[in-house]
Amino acid sequence: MSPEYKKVGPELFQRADMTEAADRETRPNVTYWQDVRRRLFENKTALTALFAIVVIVLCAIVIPMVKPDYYSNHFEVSNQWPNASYWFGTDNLGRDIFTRIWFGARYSLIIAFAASFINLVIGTLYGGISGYAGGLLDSVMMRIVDIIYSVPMTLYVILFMVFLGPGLHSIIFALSVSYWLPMARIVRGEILQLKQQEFIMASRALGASDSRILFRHLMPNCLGQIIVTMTLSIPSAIFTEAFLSFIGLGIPVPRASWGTLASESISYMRIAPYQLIFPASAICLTMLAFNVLGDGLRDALDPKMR
Amino acid sequence: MPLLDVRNLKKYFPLKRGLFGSRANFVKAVDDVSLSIERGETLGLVGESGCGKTTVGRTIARLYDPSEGSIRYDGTDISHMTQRELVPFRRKIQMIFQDPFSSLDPRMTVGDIVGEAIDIHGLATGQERAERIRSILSSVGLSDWHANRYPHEFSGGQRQRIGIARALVVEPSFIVCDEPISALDVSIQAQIVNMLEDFQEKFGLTYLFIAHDLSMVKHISTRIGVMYLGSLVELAGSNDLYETPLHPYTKSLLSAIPIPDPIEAANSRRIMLEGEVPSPIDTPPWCKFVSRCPQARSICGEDPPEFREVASGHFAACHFI
Amino acid sequence: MNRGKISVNQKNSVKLLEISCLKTSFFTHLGEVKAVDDVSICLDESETLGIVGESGSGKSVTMLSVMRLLSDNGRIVSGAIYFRGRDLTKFSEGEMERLRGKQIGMIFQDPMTSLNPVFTIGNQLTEMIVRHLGLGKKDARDRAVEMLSTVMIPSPVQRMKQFPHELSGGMRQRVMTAMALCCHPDILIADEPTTALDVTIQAQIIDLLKDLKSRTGTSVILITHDLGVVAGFCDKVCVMYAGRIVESGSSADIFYTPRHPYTKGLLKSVPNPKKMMKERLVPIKGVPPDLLKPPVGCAFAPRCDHAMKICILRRPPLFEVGDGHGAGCFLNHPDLPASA
Repeated sequence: MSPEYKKVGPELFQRADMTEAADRETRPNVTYWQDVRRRLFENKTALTALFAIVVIVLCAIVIPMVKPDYYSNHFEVSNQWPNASYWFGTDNLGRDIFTRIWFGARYSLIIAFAASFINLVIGTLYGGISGYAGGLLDSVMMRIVDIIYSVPMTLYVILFMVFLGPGLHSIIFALSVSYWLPMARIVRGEILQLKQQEFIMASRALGASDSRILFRHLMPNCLGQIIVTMTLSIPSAIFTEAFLSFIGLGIPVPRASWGTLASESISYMRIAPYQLIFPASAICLTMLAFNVLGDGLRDALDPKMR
Repeated sequence: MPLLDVRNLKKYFPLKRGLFGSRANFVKAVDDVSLSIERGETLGLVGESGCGKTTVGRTIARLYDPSEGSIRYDGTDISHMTQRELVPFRRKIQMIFQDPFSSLDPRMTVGDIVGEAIDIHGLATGQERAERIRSILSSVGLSDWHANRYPHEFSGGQRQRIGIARALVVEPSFIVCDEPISALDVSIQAQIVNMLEDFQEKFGLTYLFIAHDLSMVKHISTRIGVMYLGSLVELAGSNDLYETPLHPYTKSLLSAIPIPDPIEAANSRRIMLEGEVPSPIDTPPWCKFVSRCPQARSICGEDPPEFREVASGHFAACHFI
Repeated sequence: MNRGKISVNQKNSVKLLEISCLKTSFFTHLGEVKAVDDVSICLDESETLGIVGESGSGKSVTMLSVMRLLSDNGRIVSGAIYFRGRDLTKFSEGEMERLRGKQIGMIFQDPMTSLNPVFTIGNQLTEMIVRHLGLGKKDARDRAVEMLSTVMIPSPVQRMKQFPHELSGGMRQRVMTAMALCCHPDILIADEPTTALDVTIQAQIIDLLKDLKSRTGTSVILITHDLGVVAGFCDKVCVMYAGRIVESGSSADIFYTPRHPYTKGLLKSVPNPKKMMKERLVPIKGVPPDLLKPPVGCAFAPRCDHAMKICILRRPPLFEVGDGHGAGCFLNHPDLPASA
């Protein structure tokens, strides 16, 4: 009745020694960051955005060095449409828009990176301390954030303009005052969540000090969120600068930021639309690139994706 | 003198505390627990989720500040010490956690996780530190190359071994094991329990073993305490508790153990408890078990039963014993 | 004589559920993970089947394949799943939707995530009944209340108005059971229904399932890692390891005469609380294999105390060791020399 099984010789029924098979490295040693990099590089859109950002930054550094003249007037070539010698055309004073755009890129990027650096330092520390301390201190610190939040950004800019005079530094100061708030809130939220994890308890049970727990355990685990928030705050800093310059609160002429360029060109929009199109596209493309990269980073850093 | 002596321990968590909203409501997670643990013994602590057993463990390990009561370790009261004063005791009292996934920092290598304890207490540096990590990892059954790996590359059982290595590397004498096996697969549970028993024998360790799996607790413990809604309802030697449970809650817990034997399972009678564990916020001043107790009578809703020694070494809190 | 009767049965009737040579894999960036590898399971009318295995043994994935609820990177690679003679792997998504809930109900380990938090219990139950049974709103509500009382939820009318977070874990699991049962499914699949619950609540739920089974005659498939839960509940038991069935048979076969070293090991690694003397536990050494690179031969061989040369070279088939009792271990090979 019983089914037939393939015949097996008795020698195969000898005992096998399994000890050497027991302990071997099977999978490659992959750190979290290697994993993140792999996921980011698999995302072609994000990779393109990263490439675009690198190109923009390099151009902003190199091109103004090659063509340093962004300010002198050449009335003989005013309002020229894009051509072989003026790639992006010239403005009403005959200045090369291509050169001015890359000078503008310097301002926009300096402001963006300065704002996000401040964002990083103040926001992370503030949020980290607030979330870690908890209780009353946390409540007080968060109410302060609410109060700062309630004052519009334009007001800060005008205040700093009055005291420090218009220019790059006023915008950076104004951004410093209000730009770290979302970061502080996000970091605090993350810390509050991480604090409940058992590995924090374990570290405390070993006698770790507060600063050790905060800087060795909590912060590294927030790093992903921090990077994403920072990347996503760059485009809004660029836009804020452009907006302020556009309404005349930003970088004063003859210096050129993207906002100033756009603002100046408005009057000539009918006869020379390219004067508006190029700076506006520069703003859009840079913001888009940072946003796409930020999204890509978020996907790459999200532990749920693994 | 017992190694650990806990008297009238209470731990209340405030429900809400804000800048303007202060409320007087508390979650009475631990409400008057007294127990003592002798050197070299294992005290098991069982109960359902929310009964406060984990809070007892964490308060003893001074991860929480007790609301009331005293914790004496080797004669020294550690219940009101500051974090700084506690540092030398942190080497003596260690903890093993329940969740092998959240108890290891995902951004640190295994070597650094275990090494952190060495760094904090300044036990060793450089070559000696590496050697210590290597030897402790091998004693929990992990290999050299594991030290450079990250926790997510390990299985649950291996992660729990890492957690044990981290606790053991400071050479403690007392370890709070907070449900160390309940998240593990059956075939791995026995490995971990055997390992804990081996270390106990080798280093003369004392354990507080918290779990909800009664059969495993019975296996590893010398004595067992049963908790319900923040209080101990019964405490006895493990065989004693298993053979002659006195409290109705203990009886029903024991009868609910699934038996891996079809005939016995078919013949066993379960004492079914009606309802579920009530909320620990508004605990009644009388017997807390009254709402689910199959034997409840009028006195149970009037007076709290005293936790008293019924037989030698066998304590219980019930009016009808 | 008994055997003859069964074969007649097999000729005439179509099995309720027959999984045949099912292979399900997950495709990750590291490669193919063979979560279910050649699994065959049979289920008759009003039978209870227990599937026991550790995490990663493929027990849940097998049943998710039946329900066709695999995650995006999971796919049934080969094999067939016959439900009353019709192959579910050939069903369209629309046909599966009609089948799920109505003919095959499923309850999950975590009742919180399987209930929608923004709708009341009543809402969710009624909607399901309207969809599957085509009853009117009023009748559906009545039926929902009736189902809640079937799963012994006290004051069901009030519960209908509550949201999932207002219920305790045990109550939520009862609601899930009520939901799975409200269309009188032919099969109820319970995926670790008690794992997240306390011992006393676990006992309540198992008793409830037992009771429901005897009242409604529904076939139940219970997926669990806890041998104790299976013992008191199931007629038939399958033990899974690394994506394969290593032993299957009646409850008594598995618990009293296990023929696979893994089953034996599982039974030995749980302490017997009846013993007064403390005995050392006998654990299974090692860890389960990485399913990305499963061993060529028997997946259990690296952890097995009886591993033989053949175990490393070949995969053991399920040897028939008794009536309806199969064990996938070469120790049961008829050619095994007496000395081994």
